[in-house]
Amino acid sequence: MAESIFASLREIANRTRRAVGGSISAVAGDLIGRGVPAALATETVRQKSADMLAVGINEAKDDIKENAGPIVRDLNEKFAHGQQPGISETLRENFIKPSDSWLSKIAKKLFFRLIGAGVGIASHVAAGAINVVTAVPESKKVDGDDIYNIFAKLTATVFNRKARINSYTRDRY
Amino acid sequence: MNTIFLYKKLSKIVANLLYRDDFVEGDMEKVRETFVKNFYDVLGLAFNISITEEKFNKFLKETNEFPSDLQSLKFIGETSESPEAYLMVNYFFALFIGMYLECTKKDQLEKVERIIKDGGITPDQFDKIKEDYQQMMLMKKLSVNIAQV
Repeated sequence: MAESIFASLREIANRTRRAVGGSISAVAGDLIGRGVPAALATETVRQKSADMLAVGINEAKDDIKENAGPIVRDLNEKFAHGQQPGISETLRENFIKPSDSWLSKIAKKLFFRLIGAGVGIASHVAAGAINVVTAVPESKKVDGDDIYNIFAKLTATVFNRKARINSYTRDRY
Repeated sequence: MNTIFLYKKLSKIVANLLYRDDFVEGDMEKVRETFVKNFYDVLGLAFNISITEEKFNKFLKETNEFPSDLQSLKFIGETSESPEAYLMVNYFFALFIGMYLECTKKDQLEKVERIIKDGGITPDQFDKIKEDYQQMMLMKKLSVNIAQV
C-alpha cells in the first residue's frame, strides 16, 4: 500500500516540498550535505515534522486561495457595487472571526466533534459562524436563544449519529 | 463516487489523523490550531466561489437589504452546501492527508496508511479529487471570463 499511496500522492507531496523547502528526507539530506552528522540531522528534522505540517497546511490554503483569486475578485467587484456597505464583507470575508470568547472555545471543540462525525459543510459553517455572532458588535441583537438553537441543532446531529452507531453495535453484538 | 460521500469519508480520516499525537513528531496542538484556522478560510473561499450574483441579489431582496445575522448565517450555510464547495474542501483534505503522510514518523507510516485504507479512500481517488477540483476551477474561471466579455 505504501508504494501505491505515495505514487498517487506524488504531486500533492511536491506541493508540500515546495512549502517546506523539501521533503523530510530531502531536508535531512541537505543538512547532512552541510556537514551535520546523519543521526543529528534526522533527529532535528523529525522534531520539526509538526512545524512542517503546519506550514504545509497554510501553503495548501494559500494555493487554493490563489487559484480562486480571479473568481473571487470578480464577484467582489460585482457585489461591492451599489450594495449596503458591510454586508458583502460580513458575508463573504469575515463570517468567521477568531475570538477568545468562551463561546468561541466551545465552537472550536464542537468543530472537532463535527469533523469526525461526517456532517456536511453547512454544519461546519454554522459552528464557525458562531464566532461571528459573538465577535461582531452589531451582532448583539442575536440573543442567547438563537445561539443555543444553533448549538442544539449541531450537537443533536453529532450525538444522534453516535446514538445510532451505539444502537447498531448493541443490536449486532 | 458522490462528492459529499467522499467528503464524509475524507473528513473522518482527517479527524482520525488530527486527533493523534503519536504519528507526527512535534507540537500537534499547533497543527490542530492551524488546520482549524485554514479550514475555515477554505470554507470562506468555498462560499465565495459558490455564490452567484443572482442568489446574492435574491437574498438581499428577500431581507430588504438588511439581513439579520441569523439570516446571513442561514444563507451562508445553504450557499456553501454546493458541489463546488465540496470539491474544494475535498481537495484541501486530500492535500492535508498527503502532507501528513510526508510528515509521519517512519515507524508509524503503516498505521497512518491503515487509517486511510480503513477510511475507504483508495489512491486513485486522490487523483480524481485533484482532477475534479482543477476542472471545476477551470470551468469557474471560464464562466467568469465569458461574463466579463
